[in-house]
Amino acid sequence: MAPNSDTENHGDESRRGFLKLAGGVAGASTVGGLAGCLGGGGDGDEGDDDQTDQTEADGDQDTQTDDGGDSVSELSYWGVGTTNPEDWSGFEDETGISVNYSAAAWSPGETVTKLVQGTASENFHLAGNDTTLTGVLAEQDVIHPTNLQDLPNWEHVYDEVKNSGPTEIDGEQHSLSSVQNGDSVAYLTDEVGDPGSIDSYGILFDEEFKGKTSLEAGWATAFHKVALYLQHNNMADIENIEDPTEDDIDAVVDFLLEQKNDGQFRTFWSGWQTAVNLLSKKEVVAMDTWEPVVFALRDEGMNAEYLEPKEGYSLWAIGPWLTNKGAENRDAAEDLVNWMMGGWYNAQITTIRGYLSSSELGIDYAEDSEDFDAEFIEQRHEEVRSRFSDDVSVFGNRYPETFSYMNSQWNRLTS
Amino acid sequence: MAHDNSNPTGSGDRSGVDFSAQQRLPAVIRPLVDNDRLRFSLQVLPWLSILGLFVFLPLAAIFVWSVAIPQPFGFELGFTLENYQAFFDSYRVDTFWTTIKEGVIQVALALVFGFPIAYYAGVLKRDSKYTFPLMLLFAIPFLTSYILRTLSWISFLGSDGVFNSILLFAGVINEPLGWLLYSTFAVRLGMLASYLPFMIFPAWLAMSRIDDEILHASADLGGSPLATIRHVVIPLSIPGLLIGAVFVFVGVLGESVVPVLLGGGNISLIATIIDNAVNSARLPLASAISAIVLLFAVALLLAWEYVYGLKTVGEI
Repeated sequence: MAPNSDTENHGDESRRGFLKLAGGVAGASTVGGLAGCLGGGGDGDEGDDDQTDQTEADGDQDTQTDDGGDSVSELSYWGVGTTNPEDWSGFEDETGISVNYSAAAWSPGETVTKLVQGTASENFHLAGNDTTLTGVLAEQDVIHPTNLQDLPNWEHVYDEVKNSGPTEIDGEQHSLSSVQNGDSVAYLTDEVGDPGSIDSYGILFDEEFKGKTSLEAGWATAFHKVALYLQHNNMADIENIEDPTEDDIDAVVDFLLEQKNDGQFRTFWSGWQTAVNLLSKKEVVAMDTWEPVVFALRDEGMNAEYLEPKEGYSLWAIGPWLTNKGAENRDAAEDLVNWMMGGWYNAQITTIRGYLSSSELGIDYAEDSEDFDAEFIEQRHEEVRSRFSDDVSVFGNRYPETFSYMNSQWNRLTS
Repeated sequence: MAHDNSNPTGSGDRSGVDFSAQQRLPAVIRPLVDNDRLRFSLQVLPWLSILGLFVFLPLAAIFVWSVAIPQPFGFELGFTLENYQAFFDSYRVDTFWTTIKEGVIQVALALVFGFPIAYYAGVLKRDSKYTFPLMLLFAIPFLTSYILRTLSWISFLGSDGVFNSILLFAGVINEPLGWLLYSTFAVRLGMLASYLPFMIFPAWLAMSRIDDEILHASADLGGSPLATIRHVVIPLSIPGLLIGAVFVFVGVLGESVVPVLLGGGNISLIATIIDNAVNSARLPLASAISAIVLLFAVALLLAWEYVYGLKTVGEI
């Protein structure tokens, strides 16, 4: 497999620098979250390429299959930037099939609309987004089961990833969770305190830090953190955090509105660079955000920590589904899914994003490669896996029954 | 040469030469052209087609979607007023009125800051060879990304930004002014920076077309510079000012970047609400809000026409 030239200097500093740069790309593609304030994203028409049609079957590099659908010379993947390794040439070297990647926003509403109402399922072979959408998309017949169990790399996938839930519908795997994490709060230790004394989301609502904390503009993970805080501290009667009722949503939003009106929050942030700047410029001292923000701050020489909350993490995962078009080219599409469970992809994803990839093969690959820091990858995998196996963290549904109500109320909060 | 279409056979004939364009046309087409109404229809057909295709067709879609029946995964064409109800029964109405208020404020600010610049360039320095290049400098920001331009304000308005640093250094303040950023002030400043050129350019163009003789006549008749501005410059530049005001106001109606980046959740405009509705897969609601905004803008223009009369604009 071709090494990634971007990571040839495998020192810690270079890895951090690359992580910061790539994190920016990842952040840019997840800008806005559910609020969709500035969300970039692929268009449903992007990546549609007639070259993938079966008329290419005679090409030298085509992958002709017996019962796995038509052959292709190119696969189109419409996915959240977090799952983009920035270099797909390894897959092409292995299979002769190139990957045409189009960025998608981590925006459940937009994703469902484009797949169900739009033509994304016909335009792209694979779509990668929040795995909690799996049920609703399968119900609408725009995604199809993936024969993960039959793929060579499946046996190396962590149990925590296999059992994370949302990807299995009626006993059939519909998606691989290729990238995941448990989110909490980033804070500046010099301003807030020592990690040994900070263990609660309460720092976001502490009067001592009034006007110096911030929440994400989208509710994708922020809602669940606040709900965990309220429930754990008996501050509100939350019935179901993962699939919240309208009353649950009201409880969380009303609490946050009260905090907002009291001037607790400096701002509602969106976008990677804004998140980093808010903390690095000390506009805020504690902020609900993505973990790589902490890595970026440390690169700048700041003392930043990621909260280990006693209330639990807000878990999430992003992974690829086989679309209608992908099901027609099943073998090739599943080859790509298998590659996303493989060594280089897993090492690369954890290196440039800091998140947990799906399998142990990433660590194995890194140990044999000068391009990666195996110790860092192993440490990150262990940290995030433990979040998926604790008793308190929650895997919130990003397309609950109350989706419209949630959006409406959250927009009321951030408006 | 004047054509009398009611007499196609007589008036164009001089000394046996047919000068009439109509009469040089093939006989089969001539009746079509000779008919006033038909000819007018043919003349307006091209621009009506363009107008219909690029303006009215999308607008028609918005109005059709605004009464569509929301479904879990989109909508079904039909008729319901629940999308409008979802607008009127919620916080969105307040956001709408906030937007109107901010639009008016932006027009006022743009006039306050834009008029002197336009007057200086279009009247006082109209003959200078530097005026035009200098005015073009106001267009430079449009060559850069709107989002990045807006983000750059954070460097100036933040707690350790340029403004706070200067004030702290000068001893004017003891601690950074938090309200400079993530506030209504920041949003107004960011929007003013964005929309000021939309007022300056049409106002400048209008003023630069005022005849020198008229300005001299005002002075010769004893008019002070202020009296000349009030009785000559302003009335004659109203077309430009009016266009500028419309540009600025409409811009605020569609503004969704500045409040998000600089407002910090303290102020929101209606375009952000529309964006949120679209991203929440609620296209009918987004369409209903858009339709309301559009109808409001049309009503505003009609009211203007009723009160002032658009035909009299530009008269002294």
